Amino acid sequence: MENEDIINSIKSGKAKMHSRAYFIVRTALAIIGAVAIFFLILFVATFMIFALQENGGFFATNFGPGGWGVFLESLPWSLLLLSIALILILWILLRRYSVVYHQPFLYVLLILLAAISLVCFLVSVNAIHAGIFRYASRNGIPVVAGVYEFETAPMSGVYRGQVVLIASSSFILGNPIGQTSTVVLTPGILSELEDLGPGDYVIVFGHPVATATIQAFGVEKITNYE
Amino acid sequence: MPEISERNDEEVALMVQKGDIDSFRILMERYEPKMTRYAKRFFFDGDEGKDLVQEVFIKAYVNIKSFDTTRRFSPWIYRIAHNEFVNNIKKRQKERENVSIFDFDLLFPHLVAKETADDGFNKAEVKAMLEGSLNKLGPKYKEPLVLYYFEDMDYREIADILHIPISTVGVRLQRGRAMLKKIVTK
Repeated sequence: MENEDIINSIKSGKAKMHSRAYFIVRTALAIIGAVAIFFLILFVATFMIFALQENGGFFATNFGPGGWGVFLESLPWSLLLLSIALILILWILLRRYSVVYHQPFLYVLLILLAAISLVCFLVSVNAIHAGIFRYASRNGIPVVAGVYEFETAPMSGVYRGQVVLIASSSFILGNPIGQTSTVVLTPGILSELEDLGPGDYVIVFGHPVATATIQAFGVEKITNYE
Repeated sequence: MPEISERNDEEVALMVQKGDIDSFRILMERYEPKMTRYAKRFFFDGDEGKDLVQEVFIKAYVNIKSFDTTRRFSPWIYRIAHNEFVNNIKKRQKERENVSIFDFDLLFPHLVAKETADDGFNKAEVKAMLEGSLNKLGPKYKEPLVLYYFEDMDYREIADILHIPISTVGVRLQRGRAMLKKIVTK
């Protein structure tokens, strides 16, 4: 095909110029898609933080190598992979714009993390997720309730509950269904008792040593969203 | 009013956008030698190269309303050519492995390499080395070198054509020159 053939095919209508509206709609769709994916990333990322706080993994790293083991075990890997995939999709979607392709991927990632941190700072995302969890459980919404239940379930060696009574080196922990356990603190963390009082919600890291008795290597006060 | 042949590419493109089909002929005449030469550097020679260049022009016409006439026309049409050539390279089984989907160079920031830094080479020297060793370089390094040394694009224009950060252009040019040096001194 020579240049003249191209001109002829244009004149005959075989090659048609896209209208400006076509590009405006395409850009608008890309922006809407990008915004939707951004909110999805935000939702998944904040859900991960919520799940880690609920299952105890978030606080576990304060308690040495044993705690790190609990942390890795409690990481919601499927959500983590999902958010990585979403970030890549977002990047691919926006890579046609110079403001994005002029930046290394790391900067795009850092901007996303900053945005997520800002949202977490400004909005009580944990309360929102707790609300969704409660609503889904009460109304029996199948997938949502299942995912929330699965991701927030405490790992083995992690116990959640409310302080019932404080003693000199231990306290009584009550769970939502009315059962109680005695939590014995290792000497290194006895000072934790000073900050605790009856009615506080806590996460206990430890292992059972007898029936309804837990030897704890870490205790963390938490906010109750129930 | 200046003659159409005296108008710059952006002004001619604006006329095409307004529906002056014949003005597109001017753009094709101006860019045909450049596009053919660019295709050749991608090893698209003869009829295959000619067909691809025609395809580039058709795509340029179809999408011309997406061109921002306040910017330079040249990187815009080279971007279309880049996409067309890369897509065709992907079709060639043998060279497919050289065109990566994801590039680790794009992950991390690089120190901005100065545009004047030529690692002790002058332009003519690199051009001569490139002519002889082009087929020994992968597209990742070959393309920025070709755009910089043969098509006289600056770093920003190359970044706009390849859709990569400006600092990555500097890094690829530096690595490409080092590779060329190695090839030549072998």
